[in-house]
Formats: sequence, C-alpha cells, structure tokens
Amino acid sequence: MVMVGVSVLSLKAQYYYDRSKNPDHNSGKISSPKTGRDFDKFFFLSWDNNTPLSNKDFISQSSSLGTKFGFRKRINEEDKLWVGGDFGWAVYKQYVPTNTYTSGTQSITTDLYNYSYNYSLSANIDYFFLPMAKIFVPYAGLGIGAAYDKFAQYYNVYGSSGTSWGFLVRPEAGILIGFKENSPWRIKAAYHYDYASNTSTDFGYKNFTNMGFQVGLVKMAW
Amino acid sequence: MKPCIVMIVCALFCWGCQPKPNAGDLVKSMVVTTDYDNAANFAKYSTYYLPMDTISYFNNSDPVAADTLQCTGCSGNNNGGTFPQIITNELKKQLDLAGYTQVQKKQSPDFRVYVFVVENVSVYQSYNYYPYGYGYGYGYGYGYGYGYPSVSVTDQADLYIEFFDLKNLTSGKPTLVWYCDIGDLVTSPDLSGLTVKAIDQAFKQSTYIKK
Repeated sequence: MVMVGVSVLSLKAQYYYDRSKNPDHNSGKISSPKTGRDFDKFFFLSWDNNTPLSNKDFISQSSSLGTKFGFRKRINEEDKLWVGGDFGWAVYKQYVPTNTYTSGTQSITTDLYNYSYNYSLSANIDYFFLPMAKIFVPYAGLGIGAAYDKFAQYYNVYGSSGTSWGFLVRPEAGILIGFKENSPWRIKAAYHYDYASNTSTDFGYKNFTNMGFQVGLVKMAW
Repeated sequence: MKPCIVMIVCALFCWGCQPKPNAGDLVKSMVVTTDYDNAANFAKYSTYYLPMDTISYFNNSDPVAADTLQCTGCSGNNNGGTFPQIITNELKKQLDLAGYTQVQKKQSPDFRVYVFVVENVSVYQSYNYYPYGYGYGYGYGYGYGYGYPSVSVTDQADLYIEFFDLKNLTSGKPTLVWYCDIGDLVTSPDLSGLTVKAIDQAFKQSTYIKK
C-alpha cells in the first residue's frame, strides 16, 4: 500500500516536472501576473475619417461622416491574438459645379451632387504587441468581409442611383491607450486601408479603395 | 449581451442613414437638356413663327386630356400671368441674335417654335394596417386594430421648346429638328429669372442654331 502510494506520488511529480505534459501548455513560459480584472473581450465605437484613393473623378473629397463599431475576443491567454467583427458606415459626397456634358447630339447642363453610401461588415483578427494590461498597447490587424455601396447622383429634383456588393479586405494598425494600467476604458486610434471589389458600370466605378483614420472609445469586458 | 444589442441598434440606424443634399441648394439652378437632328441645316433657315402671348400647358391631373392655354390676356384659371410672355420674349431675343427673322404664320416661315409646359402631379397613398391587438384580463386576445393612412405628393413641371421644320416634312408632317427640356419649374425659387437663364443656356450649348 505504501509502495503504491509512493508510486502514485512519484508519477504525479513526474507529470508536473515534465513540462511537455503540462496541462497549461505554456511551453515553459510563465505568464505575466495580471492585476485587476482579466479582460478577455472589448467593444469599441469609433469616428471614422476616410479618403478615397480610386475613382476620384466621381468622388475625390475626404469624408468625415463615418463610424465604425465592433468587438474583439481574446483567443489565447497571452493577450496577443484577438478576433471579432466590425461594422462600418461612411458617406462620401462631392459637389460638381455647373457644367455642360455632350454626347453625340445631346447636351445637358447641370450641377451635380455625387454621393457614395458605404457599408462594411468584416471578420477581424488583431495581434497586440504588448499585454493588454499596459497603458499603451499597439496592434496590427486584418479584416475580411463584405462591402455594400450605394452610388447616387442628384441634380435639381432629379437623380439616379445604383448599388453594388463586393469583397472587402482591410489591414489596420493602431494603438489602444488606457487611462491607467489594465484600464476598463480606453481610447482607440488606428489607420486602415480598405480595398473593396465593388463595381458600378452605370457610374463608371471600379473597385473602391480608401485610406482612413479612426478614433474611438473602447470598453473592456470579461 | 447589452453591448451586442447596442451594436445591432447602431447598425440598423446607420443602414437607414443616407443624408442627401440640401433641397435649397439642389434647385438653385435648372437642368437644361437639348438635342437636335444632325440632318437639319440650321444655317439654311431664315424665318420662324412664334406666338408671343400663349404657351400650351398639360397637367396629368386634368380630367380633360387636351392642352390648355396660358396667356396673358386670358381670364379664369388658365391665366398664366406674365410667365408665358417672359419665355417667348427671351426666345425671340435669342432667335433674333442667331440671325433669324420672326414672321406671322401666314407668311410661310421656315420653322415653327412650339413651347409647352408639362406638369406631373403624383399622389401616393398607403394604408398601414395592423390587425392584431392585445386583449386584457387574464390572457392575450386578438382582434382588429386601427390603421392609419400615409400620403405623399410630388409635383414636377418641365418647360419644353421644340423647333419644327415646316419646309422639309417627314411623312407629310413637320420635322422636329431641335428639342429643349428645362426643369424643374415647380420648386424653382426664382421661376422667371432662372427660366430666362435656362433659355439662354439652351442656346449657348446649341451653337449650331445660327443663320
């Protein structure tokens, strides 16, 4: 009985001594001790400013009418990889002064208001370079999803519009800034580049690309 | 869970949020459209006929589908005030500048100028009806509820100017050689001033109209 007990104890000691069999799977690295809440998810709401990089003859003006909100959830214990989703909304507009457009025997003189209403939904993965408990936490991420654009042109009481769906890719780099260590509220600031395959033959629009800068508020959760 | 609900509500709000240009900015100038028959030789015309105090007026809400006249000398509902004369005066000015001479109908003009306004009034009514209501007492019941109507009205009018060649007929009828569409008249903040400006623009973008 004593020999069985000793055998069991020695087997257990061997189990924890052999780190390859460690149930925590931390490969010998000991995680940094965390103080306060262990936040494993966050939500954010940002103001989004965008500048179009393509199809500038339709709209070349930057847009400050945009917002982005989303959430992230940690997928490992090291605060490195976080996944989630984003929803984005932006409105681009451009005024074209009165001009005469001629095609064959037809001519039309008018001023134009060009609008593009953009919606995006993406699945995102972010890599945070420092533990989330730090005050400054830089990150880089990638979003992949779908984009929906509505193009519209208004002139006097008349107008025309068209819609388009497309595939979206959005790399992003930014930083979370806490008010203190392991802060439940943070500021998010990031640059992003968007490529969407949306096309409109009616408006001569092919592939929507833009660069943007977002600033917003982050609420950490657990 | 609450943040997810907030996000869904925000997404739905954004989905319906599509700002449009200010209505006042949109109508500060009219849209001028012109087209012409490229087989017509405007340099060969010399005279034209244009009635100076009457233009035709069509309204889709008029039960009698015939044109009515707007004239300065008319009485009753067809009196268009000075607007017809503003249009015809400006037309005459531009045609005279192009080198053409105004003559009477019986003097065999080369082409005739036809001016008319088309007004389109649309009324859309829908009835929102939700038949189910809740009962009271010990449980839920259902029955007929109340509905409510929703009405929207759009009113739009365009000014059309057409030149008909009276010498070179097509199937025995005068040939349309030039067409101009100016709109919108209803929402214009300065109907007379902007209409005159639009007529000038129509001739400016039709440089082939000259003797």
